Amino acid sequence: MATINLIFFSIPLSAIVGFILTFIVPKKIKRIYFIEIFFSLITLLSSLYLLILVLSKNFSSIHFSIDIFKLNSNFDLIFNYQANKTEIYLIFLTALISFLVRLYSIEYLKNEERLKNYFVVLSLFVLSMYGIILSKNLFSLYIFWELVGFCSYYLIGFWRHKEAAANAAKKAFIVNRIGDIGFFLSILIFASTYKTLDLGNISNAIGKEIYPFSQKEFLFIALLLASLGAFAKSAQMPFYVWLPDAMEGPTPISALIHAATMVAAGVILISKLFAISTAEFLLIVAYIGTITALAASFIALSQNDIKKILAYSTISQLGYMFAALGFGAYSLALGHLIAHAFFKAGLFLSAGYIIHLFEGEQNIKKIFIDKKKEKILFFSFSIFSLSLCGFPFFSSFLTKDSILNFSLIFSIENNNYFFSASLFLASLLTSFYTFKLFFQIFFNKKEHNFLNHARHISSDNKTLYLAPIAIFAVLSLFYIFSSTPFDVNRSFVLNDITSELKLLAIHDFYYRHIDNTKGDFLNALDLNSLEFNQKYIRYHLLTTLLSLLMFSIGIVFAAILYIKNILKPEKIKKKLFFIYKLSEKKLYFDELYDIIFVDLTIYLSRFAAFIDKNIIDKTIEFVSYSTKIIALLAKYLDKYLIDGTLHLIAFIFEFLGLLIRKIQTGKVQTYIALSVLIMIIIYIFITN
Amino acid sequence: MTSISLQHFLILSFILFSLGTYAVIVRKNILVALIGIELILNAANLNFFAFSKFKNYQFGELAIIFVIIIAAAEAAVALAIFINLYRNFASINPDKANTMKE
Repeated sequence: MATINLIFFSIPLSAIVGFILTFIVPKKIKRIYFIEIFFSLITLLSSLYLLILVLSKNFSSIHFSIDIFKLNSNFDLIFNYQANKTEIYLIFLTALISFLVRLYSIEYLKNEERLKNYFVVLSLFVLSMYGIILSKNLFSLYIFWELVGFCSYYLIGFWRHKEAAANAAKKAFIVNRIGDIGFFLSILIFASTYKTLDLGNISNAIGKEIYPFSQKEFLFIALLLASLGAFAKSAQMPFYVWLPDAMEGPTPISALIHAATMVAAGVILISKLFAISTAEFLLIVAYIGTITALAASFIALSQNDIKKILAYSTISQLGYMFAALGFGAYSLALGHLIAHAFFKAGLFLSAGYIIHLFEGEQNIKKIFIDKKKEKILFFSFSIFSLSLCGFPFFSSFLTKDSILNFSLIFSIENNNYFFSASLFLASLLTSFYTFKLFFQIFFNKKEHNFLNHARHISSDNKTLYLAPIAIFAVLSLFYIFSSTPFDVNRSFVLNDITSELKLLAIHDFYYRHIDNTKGDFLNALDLNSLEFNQKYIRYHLLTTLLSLLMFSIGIVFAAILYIKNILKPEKIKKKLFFIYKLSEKKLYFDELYDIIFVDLTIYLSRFAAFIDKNIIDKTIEFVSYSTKIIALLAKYLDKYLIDGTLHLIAFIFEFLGLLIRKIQTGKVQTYIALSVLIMIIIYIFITN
Repeated sequence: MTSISLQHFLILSFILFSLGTYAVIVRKNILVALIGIELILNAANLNFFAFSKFKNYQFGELAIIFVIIIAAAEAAVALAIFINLYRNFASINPDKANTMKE
């Protein structure tokens, strides 16, 4: 047990030490980032050891707490951290992806002068992500949450000389601030209501209904506010606008943000709050997730920038995760997060490689790669694409199809087919845009005078590019999750996560609140329960067939448009002009925000400027003018009255002095005469 | 014929005093001023004498002798001062010796 603890603590410690060392070592030393990479390797190896323990069933949870604030007996603010199997999975995921991204960054950013800063912030980014994963306390989670926000701001705007990058960083930060306000308010509500911010204590308090305020409405508002933060971080529906713009950052950072860190934080937050969620709240999460999944994949259709397509696919996949959480499929959401992380990191790294081959060209209409020359890239990219579409034998099939299956069960039980219809449609669109990208890059030989020929990159440098891509490709295969390619119940990762849900000590509450509202909804939690299994198996085949159908429709359309060129994309564009425009303009959300927030702010500031100029400034001017006049008056008063009086007095004394001075002649005889005179005067006075 | 009374002495003494004072204040020769001082002293002597004679006041004669002695000593000191005065200012005009105002 002691060794396990030691190894466990080496994860945050080496992350912290790596961060601090990289931070303090002077810039002049070359290849300073190897320190950071060394420490992240330690993190990776420690988490790998723990992962092996988990897989061999030798692991139980680890707790530790940091007692920083002792406020008073009514309110405890002890920073609790907890690592169960789920957390180990997530930490390993983060460690692995961030390690490979670091290796990739060495090559990708080798000409960068500020590489030290890059690695410092990157390590802080990953460190805060560990913090989010491990935190059991909302306040400590919030601290790391803000750190993640700051790091993403820095890294998105890493190329700060580019105006677009600086703006994107600003946008990401501001949008996240809006969500963070909600999260912070919810923390205040939790703190004031339950007198604790520890999630375990909160769920206990709710379960036992100790506190008078634990009414559902109150909890509901707090959860809703917290979910604002999660939706902003994970780029869900009203807030998704920052993520596509964040593509201005370096591509390895995009890979990291999309796979393991930034956007995963939202899903992790909701999954932590899952223990205390009410059914109404989960329904809202399900709606948001479903709408986002559909809308984002719809927008992705018309995008031509390789990174933007991937960005929208991330938003869409995150929508699936939120939908899964909303349906109550806790383990599937986290499972899909893990599966998605691998293939999405791989896709982004491939995209970065392609962008480097074409010297910064990101438009897929101008990119063509000879698949015979770039075999590793081609195979990896096909694996990633198939995995993104949820094709059988690939990791995301297990999770995505199960989510679709859940949506079907959920829809049937609630008699609301919006969820399943939207998610199936989204999966159709996903397969279309994924293969549009794939075919454009690898099959659609460009006729025009575009950059047809890829730049030559020497084989030494290629290794650092392609090795991480290949590793992610291997990790995107099904056996990472399950011993059989089709049966989600055999998936050890998902079972581990599911078993942990019971440890969250929420069952009392969950039964009571959810049983009352949505019937068998609860059973969805337990993947191994008999009743659920029957339902699951009943719809399993249907789901698989449907999703395969969707997949084939998408891929066939993509093939028709972009390989065979039977239909010209331009013709469809013209026929469906309105829909195309809607997709191209990203559903006009940016414009809406421009009107609502930007223009409103501008008008408000203009109004404020008007008031400032005409009222406040005028008042100040008046005050200063009148002060000036009073000062002038005082000046003359001073000069002529006071100074004059003083001068007069001085003059009188001077005059007297002059008079008296004349008496003192220095002549003895005068003195004698005077003294005689005075004697006579005294005599006269005395005799009188 | 009226006999000589105290008033006659006093008037004479007043005249002497006035003449002496006049000499001290006005004359530009410091030796004459010294003579004026002698006159003043003698006026005082005359007063002493008159009062001792008419008022039977014995101390008067003693005072006269005292004053004469003082006058002799004073004359000696004054003459020494005059010599120094002459050395410093090349003159015995008291108006020239006006450095006292400084």
